[in-house]
Amino acid sequence: MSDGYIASMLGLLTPAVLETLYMVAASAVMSYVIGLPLGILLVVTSKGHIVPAPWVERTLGTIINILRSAPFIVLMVALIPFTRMVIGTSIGTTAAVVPLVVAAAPFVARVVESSLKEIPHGVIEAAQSMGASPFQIIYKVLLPEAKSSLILGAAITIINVIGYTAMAGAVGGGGLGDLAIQYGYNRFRTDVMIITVAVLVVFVQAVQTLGTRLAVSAMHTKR
Amino acid sequence: MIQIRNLSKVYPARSGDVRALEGVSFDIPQGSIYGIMGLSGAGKSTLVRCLNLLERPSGGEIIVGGHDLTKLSEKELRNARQKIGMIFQHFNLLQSRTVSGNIAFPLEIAGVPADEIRSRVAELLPLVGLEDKAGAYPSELSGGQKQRVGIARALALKPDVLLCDEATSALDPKTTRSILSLLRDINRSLGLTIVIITHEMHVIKDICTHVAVLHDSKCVENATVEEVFLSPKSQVAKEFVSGIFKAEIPEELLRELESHGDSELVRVSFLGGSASEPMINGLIRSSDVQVSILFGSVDHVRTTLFGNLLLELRGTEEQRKKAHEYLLGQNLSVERVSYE
Repeated sequence: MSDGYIASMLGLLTPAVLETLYMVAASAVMSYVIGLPLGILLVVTSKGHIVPAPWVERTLGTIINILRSAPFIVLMVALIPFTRMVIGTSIGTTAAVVPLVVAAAPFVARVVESSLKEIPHGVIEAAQSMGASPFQIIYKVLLPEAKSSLILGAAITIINVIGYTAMAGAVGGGGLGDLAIQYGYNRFRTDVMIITVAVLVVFVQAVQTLGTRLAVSAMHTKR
Repeated sequence: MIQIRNLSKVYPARSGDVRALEGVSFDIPQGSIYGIMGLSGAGKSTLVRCLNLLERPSGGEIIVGGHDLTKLSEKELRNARQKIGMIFQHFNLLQSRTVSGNIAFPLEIAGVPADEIRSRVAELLPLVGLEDKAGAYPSELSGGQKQRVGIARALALKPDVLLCDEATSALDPKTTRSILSLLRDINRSLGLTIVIITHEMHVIKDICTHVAVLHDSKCVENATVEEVFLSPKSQVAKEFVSGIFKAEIPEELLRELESHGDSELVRVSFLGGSASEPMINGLIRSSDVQVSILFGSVDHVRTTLFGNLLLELRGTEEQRKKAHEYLLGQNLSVERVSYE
């Protein structure tokens, strides 16, 4: 392999990797900022929980289901006017983050919901019997007790978002997925296709391994 | 200490309302160990959960330390709950916290400063015998140790009352005894009122001073443990008591006895001092009946001796009548057992 080949390959890959990392990081953070509180709300307002309000849970649940049923590629196009309103343009890497967040936040809400529902009701009741307020129960019982499960959920979310970013090319978002389509498919560069996929595999592996390791270290049960 | 007034709890259900408690009233005196006993489904768990309003009653009052809990605001209720400790059948410890962290939990909730929390935890660990487990996680503890953590946690805020919801039901007999003796020590040394829910009669017998018997959502009997053991009034209490003293007579023996027309069976129960009196001797002397002891047991209810004798009295009707008079004169509880 000539130095020239490696240099040109790096020249293609580096910006794509950076774009992907940027989109994944920005949308993962934003979707947790929105999705985590929504997930908590779904749990605590459910019947028999600390602030039961079944109508809140039902309304929120319905909205989440609707957002989650739209295929990401459709959602991305449909959200173009909204994206323009939020960041001023509908084209580019940052513009791709908006639909990514809209798609990932409801997913995060469901993942968080299922993690928090694993906590035995008795533990919550014990906290109530000590006079804990709903807020104290959320940040001193629900979140710490579900920590390990929440970390695993975050790994799943990030891997999912990595998958979504492959479609960001449709709005000029760039990234590895776009590179694979533009060069690997449209220009018949099989080598680019293979390397891109390999990099994505490494990303996914890294996220899952790190997630599992953090989750285990956060777990204090022998299960 | 705690007054329960006309307490009721109804769970609405599509197939008709379920009445878990109906018009339950009794008082739990300061410093007592109050047992609440009943078969499963009798409503005892609902009752104890109403005492700190984990379950909101459908009607009635729960007066703890002069305040009716049902009339408090959310915030006032949270403050009141800090003075009512509770332990659970399945311990309900926080898995993500160490033993120390679990004991510190209620103190953090109450906003106690960190250095005070540390010293309070350091006081509580030896009280429950877990000095060497401070840094262990619940998953590394045995059931008995977990319940000790539960007890320390419940005592952290120096409550006036400790509620125990089937606290020993998930433990083996030996561990149960050690947990019960810990509860009794705490009751004595701290003067803490303890309310114990259990379906295990021996728990009541071993440590309770008072007992309320629940049956079909109603309180059918409540008195001191000695009274209930000596003369149970309700059918459920009778079954519970006979269960623990195993005073059932084998059926074959009963049939054999039937053939003697001049004999009768009596069950004599005595409490405390009477046990040391030469009762059988006196019985024979005063009435000339022939006495055979078919069954006997002497047990203790807390520190009081409790005896239960099944006697066959043989003699003329006159002699047997005298025998009865003698027994009643000795302040013994006498009950004629039918042949059926």
